[in-house]
Order: sequence, then structure tokens, then C-alpha cells
Amino acid sequence: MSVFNESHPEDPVLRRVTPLVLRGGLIVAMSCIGLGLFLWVLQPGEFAIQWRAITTGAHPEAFSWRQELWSVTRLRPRGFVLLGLAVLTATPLSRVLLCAATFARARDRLFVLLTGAVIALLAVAILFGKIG
Amino acid sequence: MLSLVTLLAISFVAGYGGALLGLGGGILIVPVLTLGFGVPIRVAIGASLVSVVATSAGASAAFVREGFTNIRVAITLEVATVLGSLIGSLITGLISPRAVQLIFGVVLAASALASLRIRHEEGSDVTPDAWSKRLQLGGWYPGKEGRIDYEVTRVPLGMGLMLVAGATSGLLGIGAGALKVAAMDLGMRLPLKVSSATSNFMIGVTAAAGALVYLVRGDVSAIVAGPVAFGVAIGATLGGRALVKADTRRIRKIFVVVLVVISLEMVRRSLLP
Repeated sequence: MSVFNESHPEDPVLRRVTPLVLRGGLIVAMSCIGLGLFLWVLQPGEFAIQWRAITTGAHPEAFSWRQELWSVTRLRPRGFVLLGLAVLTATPLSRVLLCAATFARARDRLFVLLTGAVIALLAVAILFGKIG
Repeated sequence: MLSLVTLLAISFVAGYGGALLGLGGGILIVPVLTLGFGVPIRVAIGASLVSVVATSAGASAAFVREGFTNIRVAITLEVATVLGSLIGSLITGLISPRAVQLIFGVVLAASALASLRIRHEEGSDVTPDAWSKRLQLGGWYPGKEGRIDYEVTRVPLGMGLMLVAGATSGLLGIGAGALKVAAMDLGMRLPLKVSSATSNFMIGVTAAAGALVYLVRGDVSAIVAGPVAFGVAIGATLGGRALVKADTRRIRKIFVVVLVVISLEMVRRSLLP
């Protein structure tokens, strides 16, 4: 019978740090989205127009990530919401990177290879999105 | 402003109900957005995937800390679920929205009925296969009377089932937790508690792979995904607490009936000329 904790030096580190990464990412993401929603309540015009377009079957309008993320400096609601969505999506990816680094530190080559494969597939996801 | 409040309220209910059923909020969000508001199905799926990432991050943090999650099993199977999710996300972009709606209706009904099944804890009479030994996947979790050791078997079968679960997640914008738990619980003979915790842990990365495709492709709308992720995350947190404290059998049955009705409506609409 194998013993998870004792034979795998990476395990205590991952158990301690992973929840911090997941909770931290979630809190930052929800704060950004919550702030964006609050700003939409204060400036409801933009939301109403876009909502009407989406609910009549229109595709979301194209946008530039760089411009939208910079728009948070002008307190633009959509910029905050998109920032929150980006942080949210990046949270599990950060967890995979953390696993990769921890396995590398423990010199577990097989699991470095497996986490590397997951990271490579996530990079392919971005490529697939660009191709459409 | 009514639409924003309505969207938040509905997402909250979807997150709460999804947590009670153990299916996640995504499975309710897509039909509500498409049937109730006329949101295009690809936009609804994009919003749902982001909300699935949120619920997974919240729930899995506690399971990892308490020692129920088997991180080595999760990493091994994530290779298959992430690959499946990519394939599913690509298929959604290639087939008609009606076909996606039809598949969603069928999967929704099956998941709803599967959530009623009685689950049991596996015994400890599991012999690890060669893959499990090589990857050292066996582990233990905290029980009432100390640690409970377990072994893992049939890893290739688990990988195959996870590929299907990942494809379902990317195609339909759901966590596909029911499929993942079944693959580990029934396929790889992991204890149910470990299967549930490990599935929750994996769902975030699987959904994030799909969400990345939708985000970069421009299928994620901030005005839909923002309120949905926020409402579902809060609803799922409170629903998860209610699940621990209350006897939820009756409310689960009501939700199952609602889900079956919604799935029939999705199938009917997808078949309309």
C-alpha cells in the first residue's frame, strides 16, 4: 500500500499552497467583476444596449483585450468585468504551473512531463481560439 | 437595469441548485440563457464555462487542504480531460447551434436522472494496475477513525472516460462532474469522497481550457459572463453549505423534475423546423 504523503515530498507543499492560489484568484476575480457590475448599475446605458443586442441573437462585438484592460483606469465597467474573467480563467492555469514547479523541485520527471503536457494543451487552446 | 438584476438572480439560483444536485451551475445556465433570454448558445456556453471555473476554484480549495483530493490522479487525468475539452470546444464552432442544443438536452436529462442514483463507498480490495504502480497513484484520505488507504486501478479506462468527459465539458459548457466522478468511482475504483474532491479539482482546468478557446474566439460576452460567473459563484457557495447542513432529498427531486422538463424543451426546440 503506497503512502501518499510520505513517499511524495511535493504533497504537503501542494496541499498548503494550492488552496491559497485558488482562493486568492477567485477573490481577486470576483472583486473585479463585482466592481464592474456595480459600475454598470451606476452607468446602465451601455449594459442595456449590449443586452438588447445579445438577446436578439447578435454575436458579441469584437474588442481588443489591451484596450479593454487599460479602460479600467477610466473606470469602465466592461474593462473591470473582462479583467475579472481573465483572472478567473488564469486561476486554474496558475495552479497547473504551481504543480509543475513543485514536481520539478521534487525531481519527479514523470509528473513534470505530465504537467508540461497539460500546459502545452492549454497553449494550444489559445491557438485554437485565434483560428476560430 | 432589471435585466442585470434578473441575470444575477437566475445565476444565483442556478449555482445554488447545481450545488445541491452536485452537477454544478453550468448545467442550468445554458438552457436558462438560451430558452429564457434568447442568448445565442455559443455565448451561453462561454459564460457557463467561466462560471464552472469559479465554482471549481471555490469548492476544490477546501478539499485539497483537507486531504481528500488526489493531486497525482488529477494531473494524470487532466491530460485527457484538457485534450477532450479542446476537441469539444472546436466541435461547437463547427456544428450547428441546433445540434448543440439537441446534444445538451439529452446530456441534461441523463445527468439529472444520474444524480438520483444511490452511491456507495468502495471497499479496499483494489489491486493497482501497472500504470497506477508506475505513477504511484495510490493514497489515503482522512476518515472518522484515522486514515483510510486506497489503491487505484484501470488507469487507461479512466483516461478514455476522461477524454469523453472533457469533450462534453468543452462542447456543452458544463463541468461534466457527474461523468468524471463515475469514471473514477466506478472505473478506477477510487473511493467516492476522493473521486468527488479530485473531480472538483480537475473541473477548473478542464473548463478553463474550453473557456480559453471561447475567450480568444470572442464568444464570451462580458455583459453575460460577468453577472453569470458572479451569481453562480455565490449561489454555489451557499448551496454547498446547505447540502452539508440540511436534508435536501426533496428539493433535489424537485430540481431533477425541472431539469428533465428543461431538457425536453431543449430537444423539442432543436427539432423544430
